[in-house]
Parts: sequence; C-alpha cells; structure tokens
Amino acid sequence: MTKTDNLAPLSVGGDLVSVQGLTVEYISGKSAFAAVREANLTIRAGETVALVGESGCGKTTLALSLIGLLPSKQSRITAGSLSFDGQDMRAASNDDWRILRGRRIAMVFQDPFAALNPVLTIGHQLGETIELDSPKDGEPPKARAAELLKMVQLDESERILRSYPHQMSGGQRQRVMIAMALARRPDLLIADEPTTALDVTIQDEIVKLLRRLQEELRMAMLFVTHNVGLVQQIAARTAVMYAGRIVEHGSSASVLSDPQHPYTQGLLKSLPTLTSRGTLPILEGQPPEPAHVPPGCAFHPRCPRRFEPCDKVDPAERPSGSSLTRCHLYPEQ
Amino acid sequence: MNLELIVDNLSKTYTAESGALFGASTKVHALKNVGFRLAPGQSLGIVGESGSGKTTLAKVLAGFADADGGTARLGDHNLLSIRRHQRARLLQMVFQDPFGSVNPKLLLGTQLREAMPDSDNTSLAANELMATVGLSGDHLARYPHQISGGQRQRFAIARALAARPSLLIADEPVSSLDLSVQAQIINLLNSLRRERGFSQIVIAHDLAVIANTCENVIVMKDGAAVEAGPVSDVLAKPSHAYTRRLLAAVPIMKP
Repeated sequence: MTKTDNLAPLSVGGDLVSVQGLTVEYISGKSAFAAVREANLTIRAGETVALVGESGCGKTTLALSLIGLLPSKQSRITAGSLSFDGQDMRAASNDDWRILRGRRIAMVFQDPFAALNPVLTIGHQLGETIELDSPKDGEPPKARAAELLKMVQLDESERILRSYPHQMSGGQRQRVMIAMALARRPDLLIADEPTTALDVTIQDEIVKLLRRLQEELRMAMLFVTHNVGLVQQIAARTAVMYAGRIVEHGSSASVLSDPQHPYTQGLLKSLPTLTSRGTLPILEGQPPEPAHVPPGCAFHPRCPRRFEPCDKVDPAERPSGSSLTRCHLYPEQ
Repeated sequence: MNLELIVDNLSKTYTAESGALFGASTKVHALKNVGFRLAPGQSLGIVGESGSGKTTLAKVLAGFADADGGTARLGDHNLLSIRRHQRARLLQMVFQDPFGSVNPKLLLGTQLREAMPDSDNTSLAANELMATVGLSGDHLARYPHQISGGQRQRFAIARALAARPSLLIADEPVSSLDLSVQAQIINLLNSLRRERGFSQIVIAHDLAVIANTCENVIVMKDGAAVEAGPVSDVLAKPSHAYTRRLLAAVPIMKP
C-alpha cells in the first residue's frame, strides 16, 4: 500500500482554491437550512485533498460550490468567501463559471452511466469536448481522442470510440469520464465518489489511475468520498465533514493515525477491518438530517466526551495536534 | 429447531441476449456446481464482485429463482421444492436497502405483527422483539419513512426474526447504511445470532464485513466457488489468485 509520505509535494504551488467561512443554504418553500456551515478549505496547485464524510454531511454541496454547479434556485451562499486562482467567485455569474468549467475546473461523478449520453458514441462525446478548444489546424480530434483513451489505460481505442456507453463496463465508463474531464487539461479535478459504484478491484485500479494522472499532469484534485480507507492512498491532506461542518482538517497521516475530533476518533474505531472480529466499538445514534441539525456542536448527542458547553456553543476551528478541529475539548489559543 | 443446511452441486443458467437485434443469445452460468454445509448457529460469508453469482445463490435458496440442478436441504426440508409459507418459517432474508423491503404504507407495528407466528402474536411480544434490535415499542406506531436508515435496517432484522427462522440470509446488510452506523448493525447481527442460535449467510462485496460477521467464507467468481474455508485462514493465506487480488484491493487504513 502506498504511503502518504511518498506523495510528491514538488509540484505543489500557491493557493488555487480558497474557501473561507463558506455557508451554503438550501431553500425549500419558506424554510432554509445550511448544508455547509462556515467551511474553510484551501487547495494548493498540484495537491490532492480528500473530503470525507457520510451521506448528507454536505461534502457534495461543498464540492459543487467549487465548480459553480449549486442549483441556483434552490440554494444560496449566505456567508464567506470563495476564490479560484485569486479570482473572487462568490458572486460569479454563470458566464464567469462557464469560462472556468471544463477548461480549468473539471468534475467526475459517482455514476458514469448517468453522466454519459446513452444514444451517442463515446467518440462523439469525447470529440465534442476536444473540439471545444482545439484549433482547426491543430491535432486532429481523433488522434487526440485516442491519446486521451491511452492516458486512462483504455486499449483498443478504435473500438471504444465506436461504442455506446451501455456496451462498456462500469470501470471502462469511469475511465472515459476521466478522459473527458482531463481533455482540456484542467488545473483542478473534482472527483465526487468516483469509485463508489464500482467493484473493489476496479475501485483500486481507478484510484491508482487518478493518483498517477494527478501527479503526471500536476493538477490539483479534490477527492470526495465516504470511504475513509481510500484517502491515505490518494490524498496528502484530509478534511472530515459532519453535519455541514468541516470538523477536522490536517495531513491524511495525522487525521487517520492521530484523530482529534471525537467523531473522527469514534468513526475510525468503529470501522470493520480485515483483522477485527465481531464486537466493534460503536458510535451511538446516527448522523442528523441536514434540516434538523442539533444546536451547539452538531455531534454532541452522539459524543462520548461531551461536556457543559457542547449543546449550546458551536465550537470554532482551533489547532489541535497537527490538525485543525472544531471541538470544545481543545481550548482556544 | 436449528437445522443444518446442506447445499450440493447447485447450478443456475440464465439466457442473455447479445444486445443486437436478432443476435444470438448466450447462456450465462450464474451458479456452477456450488456446494457447502452450514452447521446450526454458524455464519457463512459469500464474497464476490458483481456478476459472481453471490446474489443468485441467495435468490435460489430463498425461492426467488429456480435452480437448474443440484439440491439444497435445511434439515429434512428440500428448500428447492418447499411451499412458500413453510419456507418463511425456516428461512428469512434481510436486504441491502431496508426501504425497498418494507411496505411504505403500513405502520411498522402492522408489518411486524403480520410476520409473527399466531402462537405468540401479542403486543408484548412485538415490543420485546423491537427491544432486541435496539428499537422501542413507540416505533411500532410509526411509518417506515419516519425512522432513519439504520433504524429501518434494525426493523427489517426484527421482522425477519419474528418468524423465528432457522436460517437468516443477509444480502449486503450494511452497504447502504451510513458509515458510522454499520458497526451497530454488525454487532447487532452477531449478538442476535449468539442469543437465538440461528444460522446465517452473509453476502457482501466487502471482505471486512464478512470478517466481522462470519466464521467461514466462500469466495465466488463467475458463478463458481473458487475458495472456501475459515475466514481467518482465507484472509491470512488465500490460495486462489482471485482471492489474493480481492484482498490486495481492500484499502488498508493504518500505515
């Protein structure tokens, strides 16, 4: 298994993405609730950050806000700042986002079947992406398509280009999605649960592929996942989300081996492993629904270490160990 | 009451269309001569990827699909020809998605009482059953959408155990649940089996789930059992190349 230490920090540059105090609300009828609350996250050029959490924790909402794909009528950013490569994107228009999307920021989704057009060949769909910014006298699109398929280790490019999505396996479809996302050489790739729908052996291949491409192309990557086991293989830094907050944020090695927040601690201990047998130490209760988050620290009803302020005051982000965490156990400095 | 399961030479073939109009259809061997024994009170894991035949095996045992050949006996009962109401008393299933296996329009109490045997169908017994899976009697007056995913899976387990089956088949019992809730359900299945002594088949793609719920494991690939044995042996010394590949693909967390 690859260790985090080997992740090349060589190409890591300045802040590409900077999110400060970002709060995103969803609106339903007359009520609104915050799916992401006061999130701070930076992604430097050329580095991979993992965003980990359970369903409903806000990780996809945060990811979508970084590529301007929040549903405009049902959501709004109510606080904080969001910038990409120094450009303020909080108030960006659709046209501003369209300039960045695809060319500088690309995204790969969980279900490649849903993201591909079922009635167009792969060649057609990949060609459309390539033609968006290739000069007429430049490399012929077909050669570029074959090159992209080779990059994602899909052999027989002729056959693949003639295929329809349903004629390929799930792993092949996800490779095509990655090729399409990387066609315009983005600076940031957002991968939202890219391996969740795949078998474990295919998942392993896709994770290795993404990591290799991220290094070769020197792009930054936000790897969104619920699978804590994957983060150490792919990301130098990890942010853990719970009920809309980033509750812990640090190097992947320290978050996994020396977790600071009681949620991270409890979650890591509870996960079944190949060496555990039978009775697992459990986290009581379940994550709250996004619209009904408890007051104070959102984790307090499940927290084995809660004390006096926890049900009243939502803790701010503080340094603890080598991470940043939101927990009253660690005094403000 | 708790019976041995003996499965021998079980086979099942599906006919798959080629996809092209007027194209030739091909036969897919979903199960190829699968056999095993499961002693009363023991738990057997079936691991494999999509298309390995693990779910087909469960479907055949539970009567949702017919086998082409082979036998499956639970004690003196021939599972492949048994009547539905008899089977329900011997064998129950828990599915991946608890929402898909409960009736959204009926109160939990109604659904639980329907599954309980007439001899002991009292509200006291229903309350006790709910307590054994960590739910309260108050939940009986709720609808499935009014409880969380983890609670729905607890309820699905309670309902499956209402008939006091000899064998419980759990098909991906935790994979649709929140990560922080999975350990609760794994512990619950283990403690219920200790208390009640039913035998269990756990179908999962995640070897870690099998390692924590089963004594023995069968590794399936393309419809065939490629490796079988005690969980600790198979994990420590996998003999088949495919098992080694599965193990290598499991993300390891600690350095």
